[in-house]
Amino acid sequence: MDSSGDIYFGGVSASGGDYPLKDSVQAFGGSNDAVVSEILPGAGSTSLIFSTFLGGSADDVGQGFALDSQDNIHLSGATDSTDFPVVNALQTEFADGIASPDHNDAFVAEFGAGLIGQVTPASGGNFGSTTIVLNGAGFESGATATLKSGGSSVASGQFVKASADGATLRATFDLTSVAPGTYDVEVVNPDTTSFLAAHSFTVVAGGGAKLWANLVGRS
Amino acid sequence: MIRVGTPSTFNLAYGNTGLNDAYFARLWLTFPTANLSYQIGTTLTQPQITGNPIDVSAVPPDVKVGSQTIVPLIVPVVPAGGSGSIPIVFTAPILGTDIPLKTWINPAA
Repeated sequence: MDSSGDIYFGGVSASGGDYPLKDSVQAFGGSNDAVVSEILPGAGSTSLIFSTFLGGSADDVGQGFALDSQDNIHLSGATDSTDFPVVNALQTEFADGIASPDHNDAFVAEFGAGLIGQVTPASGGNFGSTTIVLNGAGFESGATATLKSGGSSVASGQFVKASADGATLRATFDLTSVAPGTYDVEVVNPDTTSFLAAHSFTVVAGGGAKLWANLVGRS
Repeated sequence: MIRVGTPSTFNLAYGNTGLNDAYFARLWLTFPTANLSYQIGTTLTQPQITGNPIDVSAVPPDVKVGSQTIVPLIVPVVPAGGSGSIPIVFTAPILGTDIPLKTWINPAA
């Protein structure tokens, strides 16, 4: 249960057709899927706040469950699905290779208000400014973006702009005074929810622009 | 191939493979004046300037040097790792042979 009284639970379900879903991150993958749900108990009725499947076409089981201080849901379990959905995976395929699963590899998943999935480009030079595009979820208009090292800010993003669907955030960083090294990228929404992509951006010495042009056609 | 009298759309593609953004990149296009006419396929709007605005309509969009037309364009920002394109419509008024089209960008890679 979180501080506002919402109740969370997770586990496994084979009810692909009628398990109640709300803002789900995916549809039923097949066989058995892990499930995570959040409900708000009321005096006369109970509201479903969030509910999703997690898994691929084979068996996937949710086994461990925890909430962090920002009410992000952390789920661990086991999977036998070669197509288990992965984002920012430490290991993207089964230990024995994607074509021959060794049955029941472990997975760890986080569900929250958003995430930073990909940082593009992943490096910039300290010769000038670099515009970074973050792909993920939950970015809001008015968010701030910061390059950090050890929790301290080394550069603040300028011209920060989130897409209307919250899936992309663009920010320009002046890297001219930033020492070469690897940095975290942090986004903070106006409601103070924050997302961190650890060690996701590298500043290298020098750099500059390398432009090309070409005439292509005709159509 | 460009057919006489038939507009043909080309794309002036550009990009930046460097590690930093490029600001106010100068993009150039040249072609023989006698062989082609052109139209930029993107609508360019004049920024609002207060005080003593420049009459942009009095500024020619291209420069004729000898037998060549040079079209200078400015791309405000080309982000590191980014790319873009500007559509250009060419029309050949007369039957010709090969028509050399050249483009380049400063600072070049």
